[in-house]
Amino acid sequence: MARVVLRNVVKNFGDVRIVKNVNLEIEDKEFLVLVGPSGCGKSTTLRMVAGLEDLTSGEIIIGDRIVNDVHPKDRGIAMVFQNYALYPHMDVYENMAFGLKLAKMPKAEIDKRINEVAETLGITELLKRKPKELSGGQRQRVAVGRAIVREPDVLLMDEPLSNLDAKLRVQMRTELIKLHNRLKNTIIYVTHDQTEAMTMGTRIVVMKDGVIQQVAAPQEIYDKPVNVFVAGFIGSPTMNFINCRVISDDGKITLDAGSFRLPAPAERFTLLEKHINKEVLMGIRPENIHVGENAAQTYGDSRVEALVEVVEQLGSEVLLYLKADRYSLTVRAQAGTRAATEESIPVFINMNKIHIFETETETALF
Amino acid sequence: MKGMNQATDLVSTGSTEKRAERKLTDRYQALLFLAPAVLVIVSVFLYPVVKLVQYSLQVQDYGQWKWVGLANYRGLLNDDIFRQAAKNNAILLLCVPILVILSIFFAILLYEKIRGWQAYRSIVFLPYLLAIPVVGIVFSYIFQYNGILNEILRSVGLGRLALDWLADSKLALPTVMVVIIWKELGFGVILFLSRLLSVPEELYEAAKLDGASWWQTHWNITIPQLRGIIQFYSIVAVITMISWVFNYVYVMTKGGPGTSTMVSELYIYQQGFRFNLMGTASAVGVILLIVTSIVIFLQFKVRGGLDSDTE
Ligand SMILES: Nc1ncnc2c1ncn2[C@@H]1O[C@H](COP(=O)(O)OP(=O)(O)OP(=O)(O)O)[C@@H](O)[C@H]1O
Ligand SMILES: [Mg+2]
Repeated sequence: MARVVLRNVVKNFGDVRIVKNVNLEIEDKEFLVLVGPSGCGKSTTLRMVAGLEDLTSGEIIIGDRIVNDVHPKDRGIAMVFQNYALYPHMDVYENMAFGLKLAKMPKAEIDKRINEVAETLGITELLKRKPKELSGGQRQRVAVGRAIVREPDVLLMDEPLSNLDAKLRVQMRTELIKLHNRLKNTIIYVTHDQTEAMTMGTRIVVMKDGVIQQVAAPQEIYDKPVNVFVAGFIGSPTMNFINCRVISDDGKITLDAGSFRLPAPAERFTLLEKHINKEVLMGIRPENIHVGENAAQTYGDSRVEALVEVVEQLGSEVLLYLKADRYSLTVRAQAGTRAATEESIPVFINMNKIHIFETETETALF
Repeated sequence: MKGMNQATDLVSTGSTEKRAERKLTDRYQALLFLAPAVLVIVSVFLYPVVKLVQYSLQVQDYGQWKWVGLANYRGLLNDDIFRQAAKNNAILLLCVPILVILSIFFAILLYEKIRGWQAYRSIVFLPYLLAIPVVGIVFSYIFQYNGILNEILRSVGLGRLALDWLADSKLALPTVMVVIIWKELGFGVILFLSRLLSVPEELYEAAKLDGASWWQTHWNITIPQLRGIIQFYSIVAVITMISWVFNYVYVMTKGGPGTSTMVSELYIYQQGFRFNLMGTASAVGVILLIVTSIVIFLQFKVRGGLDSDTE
C-alpha cells in the first residue's frame, strides 16, 4: 500500500505546457478522482504517475521512493485504460497472466491469483474467452481484473467507464466502489464526468488547463467551490450565475442585478462590505431556488419574476428552465410542480445558500 | 411510450418475413449483376488455361499439332536443366522467410521512429517502385568483377572478398537472391508498417506496464497482431519466387553461368521461343499453375482455420 505525492510536476509537449506545476498528496487507501474538462491534462498527469510519460520537471513519489526514473513495472502500479487495451489474441486468463508470467511468478501462484480475482469480479466463466467474444461490461471487468491481479499498491484508471452505456456505467460505479472497499488500495481515477467524481471519490481534484483548481472531499467541493470554474463544473444541472452590484442601503447590503434586487444574508455583510459598489458574480444552485406557496412564505423577500422556457418532468423531480432578465435560471423543483411554458412565475432564492465570486479573479468570497 | 414500442414491434416482425424474401431476390440479383464479370473472367482466364493444358499434351511437328499424351511431362522429368530450374526456384523460396523477418524488423524500426517515418518510408519503398530490368542492370554493374562493390572492397583492403559475384556458379544464385530481397523488401515493410500503425498504442503501453521487454513486447503483441499480414505476404512472396523472377534472372545472368541460375520461367522462355518447343513450355506452365494454385489453396485453408484476432 502506498501514498503518492506529486511535487511541482510539469509536463510540456513541445513548447506547450500541458501540466502546470501540479502539487498533490494522495493518501494511502484513498480513492482520488481527477476530474476536469476534456484536454485539461488529466490523462497526462495519470500517465506520468504510471511512467508512460516522462516529467518535464518536478518529482513523483510512490510509497517512499522518487519514481521519476523507475520503470513502470517496478512502480507498484497497474492501470485500467479507457479502451481496456486487452491483448486481442490472448484469452481472458492469458491477459491476466501476462504480467505475472513476465515477472516469473510460479504457475500455481498465478493460477491461484487469477481464480481469486475472477471470482471477485464474476468473470470465472469468461476465462477461456477472447476479448472480442466479450460484451463491453465484461471487457471492462477483465481490464480491472488484469490490473488488480498484479496486486498493485496504486491502481490507476483513465476514464474506465466512459465506453459503457449509461446503465452499466452506474452499475460498474458501485462495483468499483465496493471493490475499493474490499481491496483498500490507493486509486487514482480520471474522469471528465462530475457525477462519477462526486459518487466515487473520497477526494476530488478539479483540474483546468493543467492547473489544479481545488482538492477536497466531494461535499466540500460542492458546498464550497473555490472559484467560478469549480462551481460551474461540479453539480448537475450546473449552478446559476447572476451578475450583481453590491449596494449598501440602510445598513443592509443588497445585490442589484438590474431588473431585480436581492437582500444579502446578514452574516455575509462583513465579507461583502469590501465590495460595495463593485460588480460580483452570484452563484446559486438549482435546488436552492424555490417555487410555490411555501417558498413565498419562507423566502418572500428574494423574489424574482421569471419566464418559463422549458419544463423537464424527471419523475422524481422537475427541472424548470427559466429566463429572468438576461439570466438563464435552472430550478430543481419537487415532483408534481406544475408550470406552463411561456408563463411568468415567481421564484424565490434561498439567499443563505448563495455563493459570491469576485468578477476579476473569479475566486470565491464565500 | 407504449405506442412507440408497439410500433417498433410491428416494424420488426414485418421485416423478418420481408428480409427472408429480400434475401432470395438479392441472391438472384447478385447473380445477375455478377454474370458479365463471370463471363469476362471465364473467357479471359479459363480459355488460356484450357489452351495451355491442351498444348502441354501436344507437340508441333512441321507446323502440325499432334497429341502425345504426357510425353512432354515425362521429357521434363528427365531433363537435367528443368530439374535444375525447379531446384533453383525451390532455393529462391529461402528468400521468403528472410523477406518476412526483414520486413517485420524494418517495419518495427520505422514504427518506433514514427516521427521521421514519412521520409524513411519513401526510401524503403523506392526499390519497389523501380522497374525490375533497371534494378537488374544497375546491380549487374554493381556486382561485376570490376564493379562498384568489388572496387569498394578492394579500396578498404578487403580485396580477398572481391569475388566474381555473378559469374561464379556458386555465387550467382545467392547474388540474385540478394537483389530480389532488396527489391521486394519495400512492399513487405510498407505492408507491415501500415498494419502496425493500426494497432492500438495502448496495447504497447499495457505491455510496458506489464513489464515486457522489447523482444517480449514484439513477440507477444506485434507478431500476433501481424499474423494475418504475415500469411498474406508470405503467399505473395512464395508466388513471386515460383513464377515472378524471370526479369531478375534474364537481365542479370540469363540463367548462367551454365544453368546455375536457371529458373522455371526462363526455362519456359527458352523452350518456347528459342527451341520452339511450345508443348514442353506449356507443360512447365501447367506445372507452375498447379503449384501456385496449391499454394493459394493452402493459404485459404490456413486462413479459414484461423480466427482473426485483430479487433
Ligand atoms: N503525445 C502528445 N503530444 C502532444 N500533445 C499531447 C500529447 N498528449 C496529449 N497532448 C495534449 O495535451 C493536452 C492534455 O491531454 P490529456 O490527454 O491529458 O487530456 P485529458 O484531460 O485526459 O482529456 P480527455 O478528457 O479528453 O481525455 C491536450 O491538449 C492534448 O492535445
Ligand atoms: Mg484523457
